[in-house]
Amino acid sequence: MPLYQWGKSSLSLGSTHSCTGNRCDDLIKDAESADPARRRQAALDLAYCRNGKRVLPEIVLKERHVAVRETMFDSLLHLVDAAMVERLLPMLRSNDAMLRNGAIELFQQIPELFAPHVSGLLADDDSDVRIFTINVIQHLHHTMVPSWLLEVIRHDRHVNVVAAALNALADFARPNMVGDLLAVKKRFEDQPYLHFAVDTVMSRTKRGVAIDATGITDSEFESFRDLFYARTGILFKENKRYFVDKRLIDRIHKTGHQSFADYFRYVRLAESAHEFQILTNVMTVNETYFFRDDGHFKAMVHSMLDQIVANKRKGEMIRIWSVPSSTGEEPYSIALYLLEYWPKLSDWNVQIIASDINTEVLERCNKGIYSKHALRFVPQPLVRKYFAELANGEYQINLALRKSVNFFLGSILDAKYQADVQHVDIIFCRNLLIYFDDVSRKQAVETLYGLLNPGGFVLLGSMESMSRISSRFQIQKIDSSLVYQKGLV
Amino acid sequence: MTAKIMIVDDEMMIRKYYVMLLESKGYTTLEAANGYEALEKILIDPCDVLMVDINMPKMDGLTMVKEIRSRDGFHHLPVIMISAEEGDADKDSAFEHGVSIYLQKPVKADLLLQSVAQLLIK
Ligand SMILES: C[S@@+](CC[C@H](N)C(=O)[O-])C[C@H]1O[C@@H](n2cnc3c(N)ncnc32)[C@H](O)[C@@H]1O
Repeated sequence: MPLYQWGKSSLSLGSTHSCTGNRCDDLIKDAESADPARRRQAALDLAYCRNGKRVLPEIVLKERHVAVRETMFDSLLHLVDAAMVERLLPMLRSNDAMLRNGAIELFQQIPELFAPHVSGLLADDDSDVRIFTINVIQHLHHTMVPSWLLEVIRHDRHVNVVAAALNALADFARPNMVGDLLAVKKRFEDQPYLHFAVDTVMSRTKRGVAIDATGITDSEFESFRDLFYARTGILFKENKRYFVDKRLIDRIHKTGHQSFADYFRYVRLAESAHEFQILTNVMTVNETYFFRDDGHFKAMVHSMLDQIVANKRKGEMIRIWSVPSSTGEEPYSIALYLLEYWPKLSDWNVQIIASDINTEVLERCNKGIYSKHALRFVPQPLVRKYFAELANGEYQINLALRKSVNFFLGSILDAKYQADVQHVDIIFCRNLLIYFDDVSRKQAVETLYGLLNPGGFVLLGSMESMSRISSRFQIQKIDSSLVYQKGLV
Repeated sequence: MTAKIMIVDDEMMIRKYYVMLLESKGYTTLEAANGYEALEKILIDPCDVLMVDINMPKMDGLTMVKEIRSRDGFHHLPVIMISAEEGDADKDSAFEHGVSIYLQKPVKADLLLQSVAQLLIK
């Protein structure tokens, strides 16, 4: 039997505690079964098993079945940490193209974990490894990407490696790269393809000249950064420069302004709230997926809610807030967990509210349409039960669920919340504070504290911690998850 | 009728380069950025020669050739496989997959044109 019986009766508790010795062994056996369906199920379950980290990197090497391997990579993505990256790096040397590609795609999704290895890999003796590294970084959301690529075209001696870097640089072409580009032609005088590639990138930098005429100077960047920070709490550090400049320049063009100065004047006007909203939409990072850090959802249905209802009278309202909701995967995951795994749901009146400062993501929340990828950690039976597959292969969450969550627009730093949202019992505030500086983090957490009921909980993202922000909360460890509780009195 | 060459490579710049070379000799070209795209396009719009990069994301070159070869009407399609990798491992498996000509990157312009011409005569 697979580890999980996804049904109310036999859901086992906590992610790492869910497998006892025997079941774990079964899982490992299943992972080696001759039946691909069995192996695939085992690969899924291993994402939640404490053996997963050890076993998956090994069995994925042997797997031949494409779909099973894909599932294994999804599960690896779920479990990956710095130590595992070290173990997966040798896949870049594999002769098995499918395996290598799986690793490349996985690395592309973990910029922070992959970045420390880039310099080393780009200095590897094997030119193929250098090329595969470029394949990873050209799709990596990391501010170092242009500088890494420039390093390659400056120093690498291998034509094919330089060719790959030039191809990747085309997306980042800027006038200040012209010197380095011309140097490539000199270094590789007898390589017509590289000359062609250099010319192609150069033509892109020229197309960028119009942009550069309105070029974002350091002080302009700073004035934008300060305005954006004041209104959203999000602080762009110097290392987000490329990301920010690119989007700003795009908005300057699309709104028909001639220079940053013109545009900035316009954005600051009160009447330009709409443009500021668009800027907010393009500048925010909305990455999320269903059942992300599922330990929190389990902690909710197995412990936090029980603690909360212990202090309530029957029928009283329980309020759960997902902020930021992004495209809705988090609040809908809360709803799914309540429906499936909290047997007391019928005795209580639960309200789920969710908010974000990005209007585009809120529209998507209301539509409730998701890619298969966003649903990768939702067990199939639940997908079948709560989602309808659309003709284009996407999935729409059912109407009852869409109605069960109230979405609204707003910044967590906006005092207006004090009126709109009150008496909350659980706040999911995950993967937001990382974009803030210490001042806005403190302000946000103070706000949340004020809006919580006594005994209520706050959950932060797995990379975030309360310790440097506030000492007002009591820390509770539920299974492997940390949650922060407001005192009862 | 001019011959039609399909170029499959994930690197946009390389495709543009081959397109430039081939069109300068009067060939018609068709591009795809990966194996899936190539499969879709080729079924609607067959070509006379297929040029494939061996190393591509999603579906690698060899898998793609195997896929295409298994379809009716494509058993004998001439294929040029291109690889940046050194050593003969790729080369051997390419020939096992029925690849007609194997070229090493960076591909010299005259060699490329010569290979295409040679396959079209056959
Ligand atoms: C990475 S998503 C997190 C989604 C989800 N909570 C999760 O953990 O998967 C970050 C979201 O924060 C939103 N955001 C940024 N600043 C905000 C603010 N001041 N108030 C509310 N939402 C904000 C962004 O629009 C974006 O959708």
